[in-house]
Amino acid sequence: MHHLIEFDLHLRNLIQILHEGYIHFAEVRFYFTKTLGDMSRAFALVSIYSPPDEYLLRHSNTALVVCRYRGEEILAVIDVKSILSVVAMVPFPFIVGGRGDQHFVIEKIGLDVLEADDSEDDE
Amino acid sequence: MDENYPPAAIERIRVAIEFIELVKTATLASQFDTEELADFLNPLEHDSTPDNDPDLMLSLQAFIGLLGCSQGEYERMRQYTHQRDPDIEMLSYYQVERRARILSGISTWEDHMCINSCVGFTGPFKDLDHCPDCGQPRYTTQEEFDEPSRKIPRKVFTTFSVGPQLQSRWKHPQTAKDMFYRWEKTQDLRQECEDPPAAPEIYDDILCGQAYLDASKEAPINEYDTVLMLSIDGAQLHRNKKSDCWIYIWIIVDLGPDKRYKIRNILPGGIIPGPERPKNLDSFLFPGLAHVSALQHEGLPIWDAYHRRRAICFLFLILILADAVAMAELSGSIGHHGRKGCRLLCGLAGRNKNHGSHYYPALLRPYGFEHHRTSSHPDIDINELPNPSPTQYRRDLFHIISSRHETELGRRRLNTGIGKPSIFDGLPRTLDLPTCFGGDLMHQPLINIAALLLDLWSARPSARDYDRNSDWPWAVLTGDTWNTHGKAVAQAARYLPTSFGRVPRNPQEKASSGYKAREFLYYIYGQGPGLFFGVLPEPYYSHFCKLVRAIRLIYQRVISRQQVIDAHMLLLQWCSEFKLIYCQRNPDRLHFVRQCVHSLTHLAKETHRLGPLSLSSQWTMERVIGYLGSLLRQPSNMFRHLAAQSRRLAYVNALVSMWPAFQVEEKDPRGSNDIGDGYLLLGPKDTDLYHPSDAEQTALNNFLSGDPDYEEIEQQSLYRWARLKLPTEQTARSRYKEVDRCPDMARTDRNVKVCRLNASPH
Repeated sequence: MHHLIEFDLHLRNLIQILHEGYIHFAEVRFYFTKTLGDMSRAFALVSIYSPPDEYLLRHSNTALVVCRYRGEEILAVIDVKSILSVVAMVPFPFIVGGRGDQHFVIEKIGLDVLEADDSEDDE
Repeated sequence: MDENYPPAAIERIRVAIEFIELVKTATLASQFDTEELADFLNPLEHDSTPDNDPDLMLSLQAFIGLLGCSQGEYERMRQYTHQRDPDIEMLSYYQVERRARILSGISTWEDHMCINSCVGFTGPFKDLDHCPDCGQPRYTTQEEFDEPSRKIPRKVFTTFSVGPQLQSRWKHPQTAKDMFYRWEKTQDLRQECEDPPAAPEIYDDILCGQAYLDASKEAPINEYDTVLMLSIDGAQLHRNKKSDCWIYIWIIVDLGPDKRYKIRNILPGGIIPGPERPKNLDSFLFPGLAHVSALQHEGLPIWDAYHRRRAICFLFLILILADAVAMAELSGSIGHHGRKGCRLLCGLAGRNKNHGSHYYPALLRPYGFEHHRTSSHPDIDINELPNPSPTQYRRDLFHIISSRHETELGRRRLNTGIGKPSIFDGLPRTLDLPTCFGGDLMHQPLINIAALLLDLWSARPSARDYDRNSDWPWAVLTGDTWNTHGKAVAQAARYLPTSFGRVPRNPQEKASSGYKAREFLYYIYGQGPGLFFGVLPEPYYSHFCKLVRAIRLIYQRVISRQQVIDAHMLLLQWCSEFKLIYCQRNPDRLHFVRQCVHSLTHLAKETHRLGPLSLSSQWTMERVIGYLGSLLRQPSNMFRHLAAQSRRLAYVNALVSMWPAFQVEEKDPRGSNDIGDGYLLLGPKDTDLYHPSDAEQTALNNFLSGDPDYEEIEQQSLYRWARLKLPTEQTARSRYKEVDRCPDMARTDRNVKVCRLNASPH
């Protein structure tokens, strides 16, 4: 019984990350606006990281999300409003599936209720 | 609450009860002079602009705008203005502060205190001439002054009246409307959670917690009532120890979480100068709590500018927040080393080593403890841990009070976890004791658990010495591995976005002293799974990952019911496995089971009770302290200066809530482009057309080919923007910004989480 619950919990975490809501990680190359019809909209041209390595995800109870940076191999245009948050992609020093360029994801961890935006970096 | 305490034989307890009784019977009439009281009880209908006096307006604006500047700077500004136009007569600093006090109605109470910070001369100590603890005289020795009759106190502490501060929150239609957030949210939640009874699907506020929902019906907490949290913390204002002091603030839960924690909406409560620790905290909180008690009994009259009507509001104190040491003092518990040392007073009994006075909340009985004098109780099932119970608390408290002598008290303290009654027992409207004492989300899971794990993984002598000879397969952070790992942590810093705040430094060099909570957060719970992979052996790595996953869930600003359940199961698994794979019932390892390990078992239950715990954590307090510290400019007379600046903050906050137009609205940065829904494009921007690379060209064409008006063009060209502000308040940068324009940026802010990839041009 105990194992069954554990398995279920694990699976739910996996599904959340892999599929639910079609979550992806991407590197933004630049933003631009484009008038389509009579509406001006904002887009980002991004390079999309590979889907997370499933073995590591499973092994770590989804705490370790490792994706490969793919540079110009896979560029796409996205609506800026589909960008949810800024994340860290930290180089992962191991070869996964025979390839380098691996990064692990760190998302902002809560506690942001009262922080002013401290990201000012105007030139 | 209604029952009378049994008679107390022990002096300390008698004093505590006297404070409680005096809080209970406090009246507003004893706290204000007649004129003040009349004004306070009759809040006037309020116009949305101050007097039609442009000089007064200008003076108040300068008073607000120059918060954080010295009086001299205000006076200079006044002088320059007058030089430019002699018709403009700004008020002097003294006059403008006086006007601010009158307009806001805020009284500042100064009470005498012991020069060594033992007690405040309040309540039962009111008439003493000497400190009851250290015997130091209360007044300056007479011969220094000509008039022998004048009594000059040697030291004072400051309390700011919370009633007038709250009245100012109702005096402008816009600010008054903000005060209704709680009531509206309550209606929505009742609809969702009452029929059929259920926990909310999503926890996004303290109001979603069971504690508030129950209290709102039982207390009851009505439309015009105000729900407050009290947060108290020690602060070191300067590098030197001499600047230690204690500050408390009130947080208004009626405001939405987006506004509640902003500095402008924080109500200063009081300042207790150090540098010595206050020994009797009750005597220092007394003026503030007696005032709240009187308001709870008599009601706070307000003028609601939104509905344009009078109302009476009854305060409800929902939570008291403090760090572990101050909390033991406030709740009257015995602290985390005790046999029942859980700060939530859940009553779990710990175990001690032979003859040790330090107890550890170990659920499993170590080998050889079958006949231990105090710790022979059998294993405790982690699924059947006790919960804090107001009935049990009251029974235990009465037991403590009726102790006949110190020895008996000592024995009873051991068995109950309570040392004395709490001054908060004198307030008529709070959550039942001890459930009104908040947990500590910051220190225990963050700093203490992180420190415990690092002690074990790096085999620090403090942990290793008791257990020298056995095998420690988890102790991998030694020698070169530790060096390499420490460097890797510091090197990863440049990949962390600016919005993560302070980044972890090399833990090998810094973690044992002065490592900040935020550094632990992103080191252990951020980088941990990546950097300990391949370093920590199994099963320790997988075990660690469960903790990371759970903490990441618990720390979210918004948590689903399912996630609370998941986090609870992960935390319970982590705790029981911790005892199996680390402690292994080895009596020499009992000290691994620190109180912080036990605290994890409460996190999910506390989330259910109080909503996302980050909303009731001490972070707000820390930020207020940082802010007040930044306002200080005269280290010579620091405590007086701090009290003056806090008073100024109280005035400014009141004035801004009465006339929001006084606050200069922050404008969007120059050259930005607001694209709606909280997204904002920020410069720099290309000044010349940019010609994309071939790969970029293909991506653009693929995307645009979905547009019906699209004409195939060989070469798309466009102007690039560098940055994007998100609704989360984070700013995402781009490769254009970080690689092309400023290749030496210290942090990386160009990686994003995206919810769907297919942007359609339609």
